[in-house]
Amino acid sequence: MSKNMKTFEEVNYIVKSAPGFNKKLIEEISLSKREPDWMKELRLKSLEFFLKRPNPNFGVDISKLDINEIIPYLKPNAKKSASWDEVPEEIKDTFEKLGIPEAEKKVLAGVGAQYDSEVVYQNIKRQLSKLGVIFLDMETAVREYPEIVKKYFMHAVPPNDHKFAALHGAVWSGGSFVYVPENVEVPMPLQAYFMMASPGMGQFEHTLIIVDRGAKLHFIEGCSAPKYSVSNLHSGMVEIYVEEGATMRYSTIQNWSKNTYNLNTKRAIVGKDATMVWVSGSIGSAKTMLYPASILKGKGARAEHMNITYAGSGQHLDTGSKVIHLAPYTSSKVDARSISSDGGWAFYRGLLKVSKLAHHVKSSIECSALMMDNRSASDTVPIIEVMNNEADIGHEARIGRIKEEQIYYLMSRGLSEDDAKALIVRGFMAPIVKQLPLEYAIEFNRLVSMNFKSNLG
Amino acid sequence: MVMEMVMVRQATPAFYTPSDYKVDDAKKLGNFEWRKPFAEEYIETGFPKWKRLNLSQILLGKLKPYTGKFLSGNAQVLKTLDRAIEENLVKEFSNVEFRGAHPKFTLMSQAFFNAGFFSEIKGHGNVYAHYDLNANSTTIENSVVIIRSGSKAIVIREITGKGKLRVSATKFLVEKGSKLKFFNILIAPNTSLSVDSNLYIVKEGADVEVYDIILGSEKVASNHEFRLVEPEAKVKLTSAYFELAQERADLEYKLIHNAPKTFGRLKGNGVVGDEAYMVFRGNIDIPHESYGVDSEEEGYTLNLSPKARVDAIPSLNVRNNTVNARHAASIGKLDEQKLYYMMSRGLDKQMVMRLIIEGMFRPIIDAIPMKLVKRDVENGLFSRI
Repeated sequence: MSKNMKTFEEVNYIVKSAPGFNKKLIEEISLSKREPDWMKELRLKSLEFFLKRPNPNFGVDISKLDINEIIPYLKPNAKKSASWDEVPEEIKDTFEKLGIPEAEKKVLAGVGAQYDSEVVYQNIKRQLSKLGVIFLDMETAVREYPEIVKKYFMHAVPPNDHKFAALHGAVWSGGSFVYVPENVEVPMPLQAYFMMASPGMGQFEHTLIIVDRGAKLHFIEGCSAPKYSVSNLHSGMVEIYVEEGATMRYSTIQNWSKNTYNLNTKRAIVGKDATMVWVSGSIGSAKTMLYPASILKGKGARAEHMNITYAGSGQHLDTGSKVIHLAPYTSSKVDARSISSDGGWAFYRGLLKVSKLAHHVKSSIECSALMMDNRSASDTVPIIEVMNNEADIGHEARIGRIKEEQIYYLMSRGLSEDDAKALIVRGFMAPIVKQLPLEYAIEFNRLVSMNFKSNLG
Repeated sequence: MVMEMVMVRQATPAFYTPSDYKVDDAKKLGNFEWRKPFAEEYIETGFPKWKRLNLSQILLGKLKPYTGKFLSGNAQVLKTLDRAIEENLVKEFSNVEFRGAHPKFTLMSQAFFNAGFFSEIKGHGNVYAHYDLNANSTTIENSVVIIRSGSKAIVIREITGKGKLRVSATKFLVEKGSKLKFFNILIAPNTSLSVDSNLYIVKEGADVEVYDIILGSEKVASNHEFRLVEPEAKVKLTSAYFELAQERADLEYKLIHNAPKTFGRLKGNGVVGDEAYMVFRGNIDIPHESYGVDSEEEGYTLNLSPKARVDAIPSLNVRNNTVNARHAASIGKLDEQKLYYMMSRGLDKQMVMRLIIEGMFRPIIDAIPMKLVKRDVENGLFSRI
């Protein structure tokens, strides 16, 4: 986050809810969004689950997160617009510094930008609209496409899935709705960018993507926030439905500020012969619990999970992946890499489940972790559950450091020690980082160079 | 910024049963004063509701002294634990925390044991303990083994027959530069529940080899925790299992590297068939102070049946970066190419399976130093193929 970005005080808000979660708040949010009754009911039911459910009994320590101090809803004084010129100057300024409008012109098929609880900008290239691709903020989709939204919304992740799914169901706001019609290939990625600008706020955006039969989509999600002394909470949700023969790629770079609790849920339901690819980079937040999930429901479905996690000082990033094989001839591949440095803690937590009916499954999981120093921590816990004997499952994990002979070799070729270390770490991350969009890959490499005081560009 | 490393951990739900043992039940087993504190803690503790073993109720057998002789060997000190307590020989380990598979069962062993031994080995010594569940349907064991500096010990524990409940808690102190080979063999099909907890304190330069062989019991929990407390301590555990019918087994192996330059290997190979359910859990724990540790775990399970289930949960917890820490797991079925090749050489499928499974067990069987025990394992294995 650039120092020049507008602060909370400089931006005008028209709705700011009091901290805490209750029925009155939910009804007010629903009313202000002019929602149909079914959505209000879903919110209220979710609130019931949230109040009843205990905190997760694994993962990061959230005992210091006072949920009642979180501001659940914050609406900036800005109408959603399809033109950057109409976005209030102070908000536009923030997104410009993040390079979003520039990227939209050059490499994206459409952009959605959310500032705190509401989407302030949404646009898609005209030729894609003509092909029937829908890219809207979630609220508009609820009103304009009620049938389709009702069919899919919180079906992949039901509100009673866990406490923070329930919280999300109760107070969700903003996010994107994408529908790609049958056999349409979206040639350039769509991007959503989330900015959490206010201290003590909770952001609960909902992303719902439906890639119809034979279609193709690449969706990019980015997020950032300025750092405040109070805790912020991000509890977003991504639900993806990849229909028969379709291909979906979801790339994320998580760069929340280090006062943020990032308790996010992402899940894809993958149909027959369809492919789901998750590329995730986690750099930010104080504490993260994030395990993108692929449920391989149709015969021949495939999933690929590529994660890179960089846990620095004061961070506990509990990330991983879940793959559930429910159908025969499904396959999955997980490549999870992490780096922990300066006292950071990277935890890989994975679940691979092969059901009784899922015969001829192939799956491989690889976790590798680099520990930069002895103040840092690294854990891996992959859980593998196989319920039939026609499955070919392999798993391997390794935790270690940079080998001295590698550094020595590079130094003998004229590199400084810092440059050598940075180069090795970059090489370790490269297979995953190169899957990320270019600007994010650059961001990752910069982070490594900074960490090692390296001058490598 | 120094981070407080706090991990949220899952608590095991508990259940209580009215037919549970009472403190007074320990009286008729002798050495009551010794047993009493454990019994008092025991009654305050609930049984674990183990999902993996589907343990939500428990039928406890009547407590009575063990019938028959179970102990032989040539160790310098070798006595039943009761006798050793009477002679005030059991002094070590009194303050060592021992959780085992679950405190309820570890406390059960400590409070209500009707079998078990105490052995102190100086120089060379062998111990053979054979528990017969046919004659002792409820066998609760509590054992203590001390291997003094520079000594060499071979300990074989064999459990056979059909019983209701077998619980054991065993503590090993392996002192500086000593060597222990421990063969832990369970051949008790149709026995309702077997819970086995083993704790090893491994000191400087000591070398421990454990072979954990499991050939049945309807439900098995096998726990081995190795604490490598001084530099250059070395541990190698090899397990082999074959679970059939509706048997369930939960194997939990822990390598805790509490000292620098320690070495650990966990290796589990096994077979599941029918509707059996097998869980292999291996934990490697390397704290901040332990530099230069080399630790690996590896599990391979051959699944013979579409209805059998295998879970692998290997975990690494590393707080020092000058280490080698690695785990690998694979789960697969009988290799069709191997099968085809061997059948093309005139062997029938049954014979091929026997050869392949025997091949997995053979290195462990060959390592067993007693012919009699070797034969028991072979019979136990072949009766399952």
